[in-house]
Amino acid sequence: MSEAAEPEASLLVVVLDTNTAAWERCPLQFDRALQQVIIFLNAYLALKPENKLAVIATNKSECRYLYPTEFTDETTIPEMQVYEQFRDVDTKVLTGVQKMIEGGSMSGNAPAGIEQGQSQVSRALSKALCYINRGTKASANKIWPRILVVSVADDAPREYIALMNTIFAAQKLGVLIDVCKVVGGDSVFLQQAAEITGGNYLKVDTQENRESLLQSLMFTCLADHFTRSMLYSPHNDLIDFRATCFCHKRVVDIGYVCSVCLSIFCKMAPVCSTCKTKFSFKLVRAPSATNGTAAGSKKPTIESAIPKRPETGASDSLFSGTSDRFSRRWQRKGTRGTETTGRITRLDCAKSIVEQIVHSRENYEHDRYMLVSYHSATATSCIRTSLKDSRATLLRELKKLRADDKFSGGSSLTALFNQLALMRGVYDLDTYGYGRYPQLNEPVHIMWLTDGASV
Amino acid sequence: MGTRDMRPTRIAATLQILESFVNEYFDQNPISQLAIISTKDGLAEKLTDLSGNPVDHVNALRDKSNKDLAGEPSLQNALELAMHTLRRAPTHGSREIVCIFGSLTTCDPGDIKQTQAALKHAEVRVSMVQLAAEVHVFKRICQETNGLFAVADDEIHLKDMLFECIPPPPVVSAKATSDMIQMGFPIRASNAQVPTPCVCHHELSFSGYICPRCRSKVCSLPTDCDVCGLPLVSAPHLARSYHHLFPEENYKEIDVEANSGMEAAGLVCFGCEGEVKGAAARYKCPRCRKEFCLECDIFIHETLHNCPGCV
Repeated sequence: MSEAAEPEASLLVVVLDTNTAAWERCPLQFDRALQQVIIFLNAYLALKPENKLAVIATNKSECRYLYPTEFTDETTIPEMQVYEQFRDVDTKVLTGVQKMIEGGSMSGNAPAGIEQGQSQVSRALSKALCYINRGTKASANKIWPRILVVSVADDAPREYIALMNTIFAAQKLGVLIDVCKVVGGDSVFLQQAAEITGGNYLKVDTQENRESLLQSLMFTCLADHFTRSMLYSPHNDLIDFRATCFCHKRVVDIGYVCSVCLSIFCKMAPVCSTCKTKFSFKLVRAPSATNGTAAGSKKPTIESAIPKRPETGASDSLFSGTSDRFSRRWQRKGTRGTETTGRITRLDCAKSIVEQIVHSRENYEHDRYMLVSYHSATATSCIRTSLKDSRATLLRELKKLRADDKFSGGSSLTALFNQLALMRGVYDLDTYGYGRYPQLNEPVHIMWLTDGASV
Repeated sequence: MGTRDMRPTRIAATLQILESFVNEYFDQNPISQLAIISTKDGLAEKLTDLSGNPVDHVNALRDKSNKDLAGEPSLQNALELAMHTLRRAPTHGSREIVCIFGSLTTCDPGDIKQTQAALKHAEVRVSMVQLAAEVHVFKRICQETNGLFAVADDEIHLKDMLFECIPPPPVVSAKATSDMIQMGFPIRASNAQVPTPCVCHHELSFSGYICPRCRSKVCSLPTDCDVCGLPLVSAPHLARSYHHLFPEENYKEIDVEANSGMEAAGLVCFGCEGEVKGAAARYKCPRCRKEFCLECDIFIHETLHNCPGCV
């Protein structure tokens, strides 16, 4: 613990939400709440003579400084009982709030998009940060800034970006943002503000005890930076860091992010609405063969569906050595040789596609392949290569494939699935009643190349 | 790197500057990934793997064994190892290598021109800051791959040159694709009674983030879920770059002397309620027409990125 040569002062900016529509819902009346806030301000000023204070009030339609302001009350008779600085703060805050409420009831010039129960919190925070910036630069000694937000209004989704900007600026300046939510539900944005900057988020329960606002403020928000390290503050474990989508302003769990501008959407779209970038959807990689190749399964997403963590540690999986398995099987249909396009048959096109795919995945050593075609001589003669064979064997068998005219897709699939089930049983991948082991994930891609001719 | 022209030794000064570089890099590029490679005795070694968590990198940099110096560095080995590590990066992102070199020589196993061609083909941008003097081979590699090359005079210059590599490079490649990436936004969950294992380190811990797709617990963000591969970020990570999307307007300077109609009485700044004395310039926002003082102008445009009048 270091003893500072000069006393280290704090600079507190209080953002007071005076939204009348929101205060009406509160069991604690606004004037009583205001009295409690003023007592808190006096307590803060009494801690150290060097402490500095500013108060900003915000509302649906305007946002202004209540203290320090330039105007001075004309008839100020110095009272003997009240400490002069306290009286100054008290009168300015009270008259300022009164003016705001009177003015607000008459004018309706709120910026577009703000509803009745919302206030201009981001504007107030921006002004507070400007004040802190000036205050810390102007003072010769070190000043510890923080902000207290007494909030009643709901979150305004249109203010999300501005609010996040203020939060990051506060984090850079080392400003703690404490939030005291008096009425209404939890404000997700302000929770994030308190969490990111290191301040406290309090939800004051005014139903039970009318005076609990003052108690909460004094206990949690009065301490300065140094004292807070010694106190055990209330912390919230379940902070919702989810984002809202740009299109509907709904909270998303899994969203789609544009890689250019990082805006979040809840559904895929061909064009980003913020930066107008056209997205390139990676389609089938085979460039030339277009005739008769109906890819049965999800070719485009294969590259992205690859689990990116190959080494999970040999001790975890049952197989020593290979830990990432990624197998593929192909199926072929007959009747391809007969219809020709030019001098190339459809079967040749399909074979070239398979070859290209196998070659493009040369770097992935853990891939395993199986080739299945239509051949119904015996139950398993349609399986041409097994999972244990190498790529070279696959390509060799591929070249040997001939088209025959019978459709036996059903029995080929049956044979294929039986083989797969057998393999899973051998390697204990299916645990009956023991739950799933996510590490033993073995994704299988079945590509069914067929020309779609009728059965 | 053992010479004492930078205090206390070059290697110590470099490691310290690298720590602040790592923190600043993740501050400006929150969803990017970084890996650190060191080279000595003709070999290259990976200190940390590609990850998005700055704590891992800072811990690796603070490791005492980094200060052991031996033999000659090998640029080719280091570049090859870096290229191999970068292979996993997706095409919509940019790949870069930043080198800090103190030596004037390099001990390579093969032809560095081949490495240079491979780097150019893979569209990896190589930037370098040299501590001793300019070496033609290194400079050519940087120029061929459109990277920055600089020679640092002292620690401050080294820091400046290094920080120039932080902003992402302009995308000129034809191969770069712009995609919609599916990302998950996990909720933080903590169980005060029973610790549960995480899937990234397989260690027991009380709190973590739950992947929305497969419900497995990861320790920190941003990362890729080890089970289902979904990139997991939190909204503040993406929000850090939103000020580039919706920038504030530049303020116009209003010269007081030129407009003699303006009173010499001071103006109250809209941002900080401070008085702007007569002769000082005022700055006006063209959108909301509010006036600000110089301090607020600098603060708003450099740090805050929000005009209090327009918000």
